[in-house]
Amino acid sequence: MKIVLVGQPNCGKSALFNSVAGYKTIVSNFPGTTVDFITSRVNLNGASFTLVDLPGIYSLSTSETEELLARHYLIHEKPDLVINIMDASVLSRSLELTLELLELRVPLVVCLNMMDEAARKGVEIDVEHLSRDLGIPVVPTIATRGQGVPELFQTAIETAKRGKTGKIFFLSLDVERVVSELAGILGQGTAGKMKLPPRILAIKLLEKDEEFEKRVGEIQPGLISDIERLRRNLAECHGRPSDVVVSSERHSLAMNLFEHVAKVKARTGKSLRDQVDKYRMHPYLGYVFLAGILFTFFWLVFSVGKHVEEPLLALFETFAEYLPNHLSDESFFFNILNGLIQGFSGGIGIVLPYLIPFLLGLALLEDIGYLPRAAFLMDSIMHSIGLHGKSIIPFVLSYGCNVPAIMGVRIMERARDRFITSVLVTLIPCAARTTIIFALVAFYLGPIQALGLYVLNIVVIAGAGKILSHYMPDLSPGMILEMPSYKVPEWSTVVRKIWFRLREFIVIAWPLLIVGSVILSVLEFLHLSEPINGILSPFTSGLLGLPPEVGITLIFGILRKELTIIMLVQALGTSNFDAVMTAQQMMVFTVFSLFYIPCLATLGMLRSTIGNRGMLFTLFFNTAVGTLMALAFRGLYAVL
Amino acid sequence: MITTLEKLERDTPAVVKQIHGGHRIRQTLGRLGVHPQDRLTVLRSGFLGGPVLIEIHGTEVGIGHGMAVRIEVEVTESS
Repeated sequence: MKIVLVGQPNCGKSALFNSVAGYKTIVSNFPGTTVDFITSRVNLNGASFTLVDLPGIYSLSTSETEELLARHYLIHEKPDLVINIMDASVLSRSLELTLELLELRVPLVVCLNMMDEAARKGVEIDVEHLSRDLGIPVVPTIATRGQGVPELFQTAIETAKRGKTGKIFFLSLDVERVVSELAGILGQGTAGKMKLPPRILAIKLLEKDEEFEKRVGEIQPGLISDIERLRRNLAECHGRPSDVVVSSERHSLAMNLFEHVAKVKARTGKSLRDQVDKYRMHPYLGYVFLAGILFTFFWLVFSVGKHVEEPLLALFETFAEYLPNHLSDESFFFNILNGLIQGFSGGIGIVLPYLIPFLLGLALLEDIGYLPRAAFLMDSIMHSIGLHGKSIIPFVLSYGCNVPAIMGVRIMERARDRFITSVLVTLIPCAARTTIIFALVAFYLGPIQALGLYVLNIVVIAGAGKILSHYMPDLSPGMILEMPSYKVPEWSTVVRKIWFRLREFIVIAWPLLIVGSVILSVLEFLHLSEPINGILSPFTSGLLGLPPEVGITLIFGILRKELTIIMLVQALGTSNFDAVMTAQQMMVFTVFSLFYIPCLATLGMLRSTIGNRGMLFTLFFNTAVGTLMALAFRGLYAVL
Repeated sequence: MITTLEKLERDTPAVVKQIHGGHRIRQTLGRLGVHPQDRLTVLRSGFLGGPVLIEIHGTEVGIGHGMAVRIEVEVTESS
């Protein structure tokens, strides 16, 4: 049996999925987190079924890729049952999607989620009444606490077995006449070929659905003129375009239904959210708040990280010092072991102390619901580099790791925005590149220079954004974004989310880190790094004026950025960098590492998000930016 | 008084009169619950070309300046 979860973004769909399917999807308080379809086998009270979590959709009429994918799945994969999850606190809007789902004529159950939030907002819903009106079961739940979830799935399984579909809501008489005329024409084969009930196909065509119109044109080109005639017909009768006529009909049906089944009590006094938002969303104070939150966030991450990193690394150093007593440092085995320890300690000592606090902070900001507010505040600023407020989310994520940031790029609807944001995001120093800035620039040249690099980085990104948006002008009217309610984060969700993301690091990055360190040790033992450095030396020492030994570290930096500093220690034979590098060389090396080719994992993610050509473009663009900036710094230091 | 959304002051209740532009824009706004005849309240006005924050059907929606100028609204006495 296959059960599919459908709901508007931020309705608690992923929380519901996780509560029965284990932690396979990332739940957060930001609309549009589910980017791929996630499927799980579920065994619940003896019943076993496949559960599919679709991306959040506001409506079946859409031009957004993610929503089109979800719609395509619903139509073609023929689920045994659809669970329509809604945020009970925004019932009237959620009902519009329900009305569309009823038209699909699949067995349907409504899950009225976030009942606690609705109660807080003073929305009282008569569940029985709603169920009678819709002709399908309605189950109230609070998914984050697992409340009502067993009942929901029990009802779902029973409904699927009975194959019960709900009521159809008729539109006003004259609109209904046009709909049924068109449905009649489409019912003669076309709708069947598209696996759709003729009625919903007729409604969507009157709403000017581009994808469906294209399909009809392919199957039965003669029908297009009929569709256009009926659209004109409707538009002339109502004095409004046919899409407005149909969508307003559905809107008023939903509003009537809402008034029928729900009572809204006037809220007594201002809610905490109003109080908080008064400052957070304030025209001026909002930015002070935003800057404060981001600053505190990163300050906490790095101060915690630093305190944990130092003793950890010291521990590994002492351990490594014992090695030569037992093994000859000329032996092959010693080299392998040394590489293993370097890679292992690189993971534990450098990355984990920063990664865990970062993921914790990010998970808290996400689950509280602050990220969309940050997007709102940043909209006009992001507009100046040709983007929308939404792209602030990947930008912020990127300071942690470019990989989730590029996953986050998928919340943007337009290919152009996705492309530009992806390219810019890879220029942001992730936690791994931050360790380079800290280890070389902050430690040896001073914190002011390090801070200066961050400012410079933002300036370069703004410049790059200007250039890219000059060649790809923005033609869209702008941002529209829902602000979810603030929520108290659930600790279990936060912990699972951190674990989920951390696991990616442990299973993918860390082994690569260790293998990479071992490979480098072997290369050293076989004296292979020298030929590689030799090949790169016209670039590294000729153009950039760096010690030729750094060539190999830049190659490993492509494998994983975390390797750069570890490899630099290996390649130069010391962690006391200022003994072997000048201030100029440290700065030039850091600047080049900051911008050049992103790591392998990022490249993979880029490829799946913006395609092969986009990935190759990013690769060359970033290397060009890195080289130019590094040359500029070489020149600057030469003058000074 | 009829005006466009980005010109409204904070805490102003209004009714959407018309959405200017093609059906893509109407669809985008409709998906988030903004339709003609709907009541809304401005929570944060769009100063300096910034976005407008509105409350509509119990949810908060941020609307970029470029989109707000296409939403024709009528200011109402009280919500």
